[in-house]
Amino acid sequence: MTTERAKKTARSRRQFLADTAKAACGVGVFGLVLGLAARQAQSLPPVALRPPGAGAEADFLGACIRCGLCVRDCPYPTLRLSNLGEDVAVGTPYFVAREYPCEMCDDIPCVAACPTGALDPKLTNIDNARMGLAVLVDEETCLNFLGLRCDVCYRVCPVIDKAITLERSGNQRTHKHAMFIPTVHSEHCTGCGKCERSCVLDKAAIRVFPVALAKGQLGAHYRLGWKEKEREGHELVPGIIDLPDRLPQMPGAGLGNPGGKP
Amino acid sequence: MKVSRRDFIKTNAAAAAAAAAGVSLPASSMAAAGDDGIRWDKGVCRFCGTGCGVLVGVKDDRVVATQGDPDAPVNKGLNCIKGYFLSKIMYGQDRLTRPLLRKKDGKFAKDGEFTPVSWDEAFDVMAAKWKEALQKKGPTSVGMFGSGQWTIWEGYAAAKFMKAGLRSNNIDPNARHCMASAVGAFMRAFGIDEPMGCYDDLEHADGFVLWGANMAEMHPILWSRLTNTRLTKPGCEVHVLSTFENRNFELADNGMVFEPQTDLAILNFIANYIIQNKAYNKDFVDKAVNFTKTATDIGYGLRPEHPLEKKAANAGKGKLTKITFDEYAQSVAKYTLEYTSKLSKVPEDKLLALAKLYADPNKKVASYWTMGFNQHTRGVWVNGLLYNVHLLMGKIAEPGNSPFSLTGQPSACGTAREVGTFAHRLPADLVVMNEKHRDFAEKTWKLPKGTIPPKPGFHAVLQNRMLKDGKLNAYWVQCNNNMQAAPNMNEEGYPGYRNPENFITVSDPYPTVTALAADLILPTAMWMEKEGAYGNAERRTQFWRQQVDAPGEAQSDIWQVMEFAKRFKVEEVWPAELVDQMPAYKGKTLFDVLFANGQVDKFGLDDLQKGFNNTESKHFGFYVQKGIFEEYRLFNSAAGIPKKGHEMARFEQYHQARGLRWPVIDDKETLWRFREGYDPHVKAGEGVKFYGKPDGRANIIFAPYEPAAESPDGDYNLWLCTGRVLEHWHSGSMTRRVPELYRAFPDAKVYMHPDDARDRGFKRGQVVKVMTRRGEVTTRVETRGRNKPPQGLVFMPWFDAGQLVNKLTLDATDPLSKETDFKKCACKVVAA
Amino acid sequence: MSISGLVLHVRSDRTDAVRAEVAALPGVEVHAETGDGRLVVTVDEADNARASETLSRFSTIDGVLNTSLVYNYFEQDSDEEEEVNESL
Repeated sequence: MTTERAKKTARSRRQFLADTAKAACGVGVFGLVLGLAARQAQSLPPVALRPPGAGAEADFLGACIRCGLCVRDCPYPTLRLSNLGEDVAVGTPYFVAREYPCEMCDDIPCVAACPTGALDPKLTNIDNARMGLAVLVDEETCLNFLGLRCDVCYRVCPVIDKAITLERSGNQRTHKHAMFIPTVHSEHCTGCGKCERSCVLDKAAIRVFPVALAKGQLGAHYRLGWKEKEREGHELVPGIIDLPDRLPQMPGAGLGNPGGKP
Repeated sequence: MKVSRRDFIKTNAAAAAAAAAGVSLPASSMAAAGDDGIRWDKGVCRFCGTGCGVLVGVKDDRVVATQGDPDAPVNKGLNCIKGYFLSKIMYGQDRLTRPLLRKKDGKFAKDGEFTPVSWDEAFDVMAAKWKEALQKKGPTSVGMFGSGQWTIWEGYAAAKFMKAGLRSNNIDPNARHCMASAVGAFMRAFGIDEPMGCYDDLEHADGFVLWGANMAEMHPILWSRLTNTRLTKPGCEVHVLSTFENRNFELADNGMVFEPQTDLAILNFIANYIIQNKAYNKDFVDKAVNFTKTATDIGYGLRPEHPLEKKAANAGKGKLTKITFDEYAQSVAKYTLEYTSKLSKVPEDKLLALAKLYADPNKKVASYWTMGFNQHTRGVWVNGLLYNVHLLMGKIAEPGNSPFSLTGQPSACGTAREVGTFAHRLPADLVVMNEKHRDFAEKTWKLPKGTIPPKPGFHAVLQNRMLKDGKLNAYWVQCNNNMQAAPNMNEEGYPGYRNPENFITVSDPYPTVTALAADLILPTAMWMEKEGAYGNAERRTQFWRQQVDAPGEAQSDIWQVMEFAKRFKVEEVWPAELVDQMPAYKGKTLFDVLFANGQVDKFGLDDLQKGFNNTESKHFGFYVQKGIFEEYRLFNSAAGIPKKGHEMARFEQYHQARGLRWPVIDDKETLWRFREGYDPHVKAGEGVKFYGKPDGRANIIFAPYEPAAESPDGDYNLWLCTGRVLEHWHSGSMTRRVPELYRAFPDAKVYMHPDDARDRGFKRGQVVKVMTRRGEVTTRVETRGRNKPPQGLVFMPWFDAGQLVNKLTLDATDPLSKETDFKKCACKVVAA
Repeated sequence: MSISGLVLHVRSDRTDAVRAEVAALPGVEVHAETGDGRLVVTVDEADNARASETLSRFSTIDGVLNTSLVYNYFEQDSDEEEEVNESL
């Protein structure tokens, strides 16, 4: 029902005015002084996410012939074609996570339906799709950042424990409870939008944006030392030595035994 | 920011409309709009047994907001996602506001359409049906099915009405599906119900073991406390056992997926390990423990004609026989590491790590369990086997050493168990089978000797069977959704409800599956629409005041019971010899005898909570809740009571406090029971005393591994396990009416191992049928996500009224506790 | 969000009952009343469809003679589009 609502805002407003006109008719002493002046036209379209397998926006637009077959073969109400007047190129497929996310079908019927390769036929494992990237945009309203136990976004994630993990820390206010911070990992997030869809807030604190909007990029001039070492499996500069430190001899002091573990 | 902007626009809207009407808005009105004008008062969350404290915000007779109570000791201002939406649960679009009776041609008809009627007509028809049943077949033909969501006084009033008024012990709570096995084990091991520890153990323990308790989802706030301890305490370890991988495994240091039913063997292995390694606490065992064994081959609580029952040597037997320590050691000796690992499919090193935690004298261990243990055809046994382990080590009844049975419902302890709503119980741990207990109850209630029948009534599953068989004919369901929750409703419950011989009444705020299967639906006030009290899993009793009025003609359960009691004259329901014992009761109604008895009606309206409504009290002319609670205290806190240990504080103290953990003695709470210094019932020098037993010793009870009632075979080649999800509680009757929670988990689905799905040619999301020998349900396959079953097992949540999965489950019960095993039956999954 | 300001004309003998009933509707607040049976109310709803439902419920309340919409403010509850488009 929310889908319909957002899709047909303009029409529903007309409907509303018609309804209220009906409700108001009878005496009609007070004219319908509508608050038009107070209202800003809101014709902006929802954030559009492309189907799985769509490449960079320019490439996709070049390859998509607006045939609508992907929309036809989507077994859920997820995919739709852009209409005139929307900010998405007319006739191209997209979906809005908050309204109906991608269900991540095993057999990816939308990709299979695409006659031109605008949706990359090499995408056969839906886990490799990158429709967008989830971003926890508002730490101030996210219930888990406040210490509550919501974590709905985490539990609905089809790639749970990989694409979203709960990073634990102590609650500094209660000193008794743990915080479970939802954390998105771009190497696994497919951008399906389930998390945004299910966020229980009035406005979602976690949202899925096209990857180009959501992802930062490190400068090529700097590398993360610990990652490079992990990747190589050894120190990048071998053969560096260290000399032992002089320490007082205290048997049983347990210096090598933090935490008291035997 | 959003709020102030919204308010700003609203102020504009009001000003524009006021200008149009030619009035100026009074300054106070605008001020009230700025200052939100909400009245805050303390309350308790409506959902699980954790018992989180909340503050309830009311404006214009409507709960407009809630917040976690920042000073509540349990949750310190936090809530889970269900608690976050508490303010919305009473305002579903389809709240019932008038009694609805099935009618045809202006008269009641079993096949009629639901038609709004007055309370008078509703009760007239209902009373006629109840009287007819009583007259034809006697008190065993009437019954009631109640709830661990009843407030304390609602449960007490209903139990008293049924057992003492109508003289029928056929009252049972839905807690039978939930906690009965825990109760049975408490009584057998300790002679007194409910955990010895409290939630403070979550901070005191060094190690945690979860036995069939998906705490991460089902007790989210307690889980965050456990997690915090795991994070902050060096050396702390978490062991998790389950028949499928759930959210607990994410934190687990040692996660174990075991073959269903083999928990019995694993616990015996741990006991064996402790004994073999001479790790047990000899002083404690010598001083505080008796060794016993229980009768074996006890059947599966099915109908007596079922082949499994006929085959069982000791069907339904719970006899304990004393044995020596050596005999006990011999009994568990069979459960070696190799044997247990093979049976349970848990790797040896994992089992060993678990046993070592329990056997380490320097580690304090808290064990938690819920439905994995309780919904088990050997539920009482398996609860007991865990006590065996804790008792062998003396790791019990002190901070951090705590076998702890968690509860599912908000007042499973406070109401269902403590006030005696089970078919065999009376208030404060008394039982109907014991003549002294009956005598005491009758005397306390000022009733003639012999009023309370000595034979236990029909328990939950038996009620459905008796309805179907036409032996239970007038039936009242309050505060639960049993058509969705109970097992095998296809074959037992539904035919029972629709049996033309029967008249079924369901009281509920919403048109649940159960309500729609009834003949009469009574609209019911819920949560903050009445003054209430719940008791949580750590023995904490919490009160709240009536915050708002119920919509339309909805009335609380207690109002309904007390008002219905007015419809029965003593002579209509008691034999002459009873009435003759108390001639003063002649011509009186059950309301007069049970509730206007000089005790329940002792406190006047002057005592009501100032500034708050109290619908029932104003209706009946006395402070109903206080009168009932104070009468209840005659069972648990007066001098000369048969069973000590349940002492409660005075009524008013609970309205002042954020809940108190009983026994409350000398205005002090009790955190750990049975331990000197913590529990006032243990005298100086006694150390540990399990005073629920005459000799002060707890029972270690040997019980062997026995197989489940139904296991996968041939055609039905998968285990079916049903359960819950964090987002929905109480069958989803409230949570699914909150749009945001609905959206978070809209429809049930069946969780399946990806290989099992592939072998059957299923794609993820495909529509399939889950089938058992009792029926089928259509759903979608889920191979990803929060629950990861092993091959050979599927899990499906039962909150979805559109997918009644519990009707597929077998109505096999623990023969001792009569609690259903929802965790184990055989199913197959096929393409739809 | 949809916020409307309205004036309800009410039969004078039913003013109290109507005020209570109207105030009990979700999202509705009564701000003022004139001596001659007019109530100033606001309706705060998630969207216009719901607001129009609420408005039509007014006319079913016994004692309400007329409903006049004076002010309406509507805004689609998806500020996310604004933000994203700004950053594009």
